[in-house]
Amino acid sequence: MESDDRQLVRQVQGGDQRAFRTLVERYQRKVFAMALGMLRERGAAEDLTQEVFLKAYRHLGNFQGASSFYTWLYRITTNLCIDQLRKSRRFVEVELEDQAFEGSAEMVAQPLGFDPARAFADREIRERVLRALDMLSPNHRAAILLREAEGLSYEEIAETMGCSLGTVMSRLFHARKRMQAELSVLVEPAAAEEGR
Amino acid sequence: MDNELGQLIHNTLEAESNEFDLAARVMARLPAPSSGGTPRGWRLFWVPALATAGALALFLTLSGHDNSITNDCAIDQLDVTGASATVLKLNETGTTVVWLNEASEEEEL
Repeated sequence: MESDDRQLVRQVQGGDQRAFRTLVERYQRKVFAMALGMLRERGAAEDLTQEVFLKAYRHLGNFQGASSFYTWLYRITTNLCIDQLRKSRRFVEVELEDQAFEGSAEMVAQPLGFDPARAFADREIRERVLRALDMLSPNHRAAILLREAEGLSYEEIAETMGCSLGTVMSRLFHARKRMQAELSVLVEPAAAEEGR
Repeated sequence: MDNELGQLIHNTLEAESNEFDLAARVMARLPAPSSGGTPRGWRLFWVPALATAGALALFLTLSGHDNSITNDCAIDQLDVTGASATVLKLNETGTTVVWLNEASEEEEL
């Protein structure tokens, strides 16, 4: 996939717009998922996704391939989302925990108490998840989305967000802890349902 | 994905983005492709060079002078940042022409 991306990027740099369409089709759902997780509103996420690809197209001439195309694309996405959230001031930025974190980002990865596959069928669960994401600061939200929704490694997240590995682990630790607290309300109805 | 919380986030966003498709809208908003897909580096060189040559030819035609141009100008100082400069001297009039082509500044990501 990565070498294929590089080939497509070279074709776009040579003026081939069909190659760019292939890249859009390949990554549009991932970029949209990231934008939706960050912004929560579908319309805003759609507009931002378009903006990401238009910006990527404008700057692709300068893309040297030092990083992979998708981490470059996620960097554009993350930066645009964080800019938009800062402009709308829809959050309180508290990230004092980012410093000096030496634990494991996985240490609070406890069972939720219900089947995550329920999210596919249950819109209410999805709405709860998006609301819980909305409670996180933009940087914590971006870190957990890059990890869980996009499947990036810690190193790739650090590269995308322009921070250290320790900061990534700290952001993930606190984001997961907060998310689990916000979503604990889902466990009781699930347990009650199973008891019937 | 190594935990239930991660799977829940992943499944939520996968379900929400499943039908999403804006490729046509993005493609409609792209600028028209440049002729022949000339690589950017070559465009940066040739566009200013052709513009300079064209302007010079126009200047010479309008001013009615023959090929009395040289590049043996006495230049005291010439500071150019982010642009290419062409310096020419028109012998008959003694006029020195300094032609600058400024490169556009790249937008930050």
